[in-house]
Amino acid sequence: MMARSIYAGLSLLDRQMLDRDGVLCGKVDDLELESSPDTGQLYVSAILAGPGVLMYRLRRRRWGEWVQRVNRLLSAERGAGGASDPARIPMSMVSEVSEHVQLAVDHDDLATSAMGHWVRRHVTSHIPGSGHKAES
Amino acid sequence: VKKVFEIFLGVLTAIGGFVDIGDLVANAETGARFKLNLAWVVVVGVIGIIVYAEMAGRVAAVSQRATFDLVRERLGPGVGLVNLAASFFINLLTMTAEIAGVAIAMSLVVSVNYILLLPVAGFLVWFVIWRLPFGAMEKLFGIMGLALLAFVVVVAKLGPDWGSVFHQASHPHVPSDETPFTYAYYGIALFGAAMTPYEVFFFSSGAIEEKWTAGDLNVERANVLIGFPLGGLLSLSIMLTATLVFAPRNISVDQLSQVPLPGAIVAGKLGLAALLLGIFGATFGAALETALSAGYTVAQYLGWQWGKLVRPNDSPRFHLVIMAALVGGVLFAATGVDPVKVTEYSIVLSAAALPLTYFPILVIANDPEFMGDKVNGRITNFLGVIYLIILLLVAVATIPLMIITKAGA
Repeated sequence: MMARSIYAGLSLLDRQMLDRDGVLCGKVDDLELESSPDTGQLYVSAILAGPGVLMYRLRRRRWGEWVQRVNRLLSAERGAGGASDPARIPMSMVSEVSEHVQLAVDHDDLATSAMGHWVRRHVTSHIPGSGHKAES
Repeated sequence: VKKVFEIFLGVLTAIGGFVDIGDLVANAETGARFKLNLAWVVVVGVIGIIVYAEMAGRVAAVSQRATFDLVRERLGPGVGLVNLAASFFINLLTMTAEIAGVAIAMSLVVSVNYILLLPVAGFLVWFVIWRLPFGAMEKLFGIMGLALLAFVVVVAKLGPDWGSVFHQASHPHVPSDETPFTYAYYGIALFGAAMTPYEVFFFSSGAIEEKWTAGDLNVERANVLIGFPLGGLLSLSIMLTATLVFAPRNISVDQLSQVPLPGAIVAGKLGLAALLLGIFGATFGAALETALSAGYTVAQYLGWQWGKLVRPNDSPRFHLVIMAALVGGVLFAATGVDPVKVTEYSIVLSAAALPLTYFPILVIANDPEFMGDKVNGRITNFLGVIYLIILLLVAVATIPLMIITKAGA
């Protein structure tokens, strides 16, 4: 399959990601590049997204590692440890790149949701009304 | 007919939403101290907020992207983060001042020290955000804030000589007992109060919460073009009452409770009650807007699900940020810090940070990739650039003026 060429730095980085149900699920925090063995050209192999990733990109490596470790613990707590690294979203899971990045996965499986799950489980779900939309 | 009603309500809420504790304090203070010599700044500020709120609302309606979403994408994560930190801090100061305003308005009715009422005010703000739908929330407090129109009645009852009012306002000069520095400092405070950044965060996020699309641009324009000027009129009435009542008696305004006093003098208990209701509605509405803005800015920078359209369980981090901000604001106010001082610092620092908010909006509003044929017209761009230059000059001058005047002392 012929890959699309785009200016990855401009059209991908920092774009809003949507999951397959249209739920906002983080930003494209960084990109993983690989070079093709045949032509030697670089291509984007995966989107990296999650709080620790952004700190890495902002050159706060130690904080980034620490946050990623916490994030992995949170994912393990939920038992979602199936994927090797939830912060890595292979490009095969990306269905559309426009003003936003449309993913073909559920936001629950992404590293960007781990802290949200924690907050829901330990804070918001204990408050009455958290499961209802505000109705008029 | 539904559309007319929609515009009507939008306009009402815009009037109530424009005036907050910053405008109440800054207009009353400057009226008492500088009479009408700074009235022109209110006009400049209102035109500025019209230009940029219209742009931000249009960008949100057309591209479905709110301000901080765009800030990160256009300025990059590093500069975007600095911007977020500065905006979040200033917004927190503003929110603290608004919550204190709510508590003071309540304390004037029930005669309990306002510090004891701060937790009540903070809880009410959280409860409304947690439970009330967006539209109902906006309308309720917008309409309550309309009671501030009693200031217009107060002005009419005071019956100033309109000829000399217009003459004073149109021939501004630095009063003999003031320095050019204090004059400029309070001018910046008024400007910052009119163009406070949270208005844009809230307006653009609100456009998405209200599900506006490119088809709603007429409603959007009507909101901005009628609501903000009427809000400016209210601001000027507050300044004028202070000029007429406080300035001749050499009374300086250093407490929020002084602001509605002219109402009591000319219109008795009823006038005072109306103004207190208006102050409660305006500060409560602004407390809601600033608390929501705390959540909006962080969630939009990091790409989380946000907003009142989804269940709190589906946007847990958005709600957590709001709760944390409210707890922080209540604790800060409870230290007994002077609410008027907090307000002054919040509007002056807002003025210094204005370019951070307004520059990305101007850039995006010109990008056809996002805006299609709804990009800025020539007049909007002309005004946008002029205002950006003003914003930059103000930003550069703010901190030095703060130091020279010892924060307006």
